[in-house]
Amino acid sequence: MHTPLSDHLSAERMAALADDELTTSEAAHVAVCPSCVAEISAHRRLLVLAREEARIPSVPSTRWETLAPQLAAAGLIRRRALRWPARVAAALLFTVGGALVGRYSALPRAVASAPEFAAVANIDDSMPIFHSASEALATLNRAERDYRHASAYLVAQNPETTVTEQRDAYRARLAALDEVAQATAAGLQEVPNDPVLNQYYLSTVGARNATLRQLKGALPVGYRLERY
Amino acid sequence: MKTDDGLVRRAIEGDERAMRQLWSLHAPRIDALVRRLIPDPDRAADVAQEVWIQIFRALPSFRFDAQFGTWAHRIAVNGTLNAIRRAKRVDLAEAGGPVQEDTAAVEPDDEAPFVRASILEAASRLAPGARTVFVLHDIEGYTHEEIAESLGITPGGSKSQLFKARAKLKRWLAHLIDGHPRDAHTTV
Repeated sequence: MHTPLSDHLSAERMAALADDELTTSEAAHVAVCPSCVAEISAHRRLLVLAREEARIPSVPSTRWETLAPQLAAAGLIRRRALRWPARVAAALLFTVGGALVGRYSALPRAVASAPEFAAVANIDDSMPIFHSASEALATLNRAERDYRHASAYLVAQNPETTVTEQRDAYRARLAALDEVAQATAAGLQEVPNDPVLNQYYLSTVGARNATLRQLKGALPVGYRLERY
Repeated sequence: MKTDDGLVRRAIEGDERAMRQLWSLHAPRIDALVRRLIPDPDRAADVAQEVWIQIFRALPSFRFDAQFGTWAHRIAVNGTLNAIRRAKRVDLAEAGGPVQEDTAAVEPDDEAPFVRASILEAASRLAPGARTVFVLHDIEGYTHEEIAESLGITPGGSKSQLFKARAKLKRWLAHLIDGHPRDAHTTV
């Protein structure tokens, strides 16, 4: 039983009263004891400060770029979604590749059949007209180089692309380029002078080497690339 | 369906994009919890990373009747407490002392003047057990029963440590809270 001013609340009890209710006898004491009132009020303010702390926004101390490789190593990441640059790059590969194949394969027929070539030319007035194979090959080389630079630029512009994703993209690209190189090399065994196959083979090997350099650049310092 | 459920289902299947989104949504709160319990920033970052791996590893056991954030927070609490216990055992073993369970003891009273600008800085001066109880109860909102279960102590022990921790913090933060007309909550 607390009696006015003769028996202050214990320090532990006042701390408990930060979020507890006064008993009747405590209330009787506190009603006439400014010292205990001040103590209990201070504890309640402390609790308010603590509760506010939980609502203060904070920056994570973890980084996804560091976490992702560990999750992948633990087998927890099993599916990597392609981000938009990769999808754009894939679309570009099909579009540009298809267009280039189309131009090369269409050119001899266009020469053989002028009306057909004219019809195609009318579809797109900006379509270049080549006067020699070397001129066409030079254009093809420029297109291939521009494509690679544009792809690299798009990937670099994506802030969400992680180092892990870049490495995985390079590895996937290398594997695909290897298949293309093998397929075109096999085709060249049959038709060694075919300009399309030659160009594809050379472009693929060039892109493969460039990707290998990019992959090495994306690896940690001192890491030796042994396989992909 | 709750907001995170779709992400959780995809994350269980190992979809990195979903996992990253879950991390992005909840890392501010989870990582802050770890930092409050482990004042050393480098160690807190390491433990937070371990905690996130534990969360994603435990994801298949997630029951969709709960909130992902609440569930993950609980895993973070237990993961962090385990890390603190491991560190304590290593410290004691290296010092040649006996290995003891965490009893949530408050450090001996230090009457030296100690002025701190923030409640977290002051809490970091508490002994690990007392800091844990204070952080989990007063900041994170866990009950004494939940804290007692996590720490392996009784709810009464949790309360006792909390009140001692509050008393110490009130003294250390007197310049912030004494006689400060804050709001209606402080009316006795």
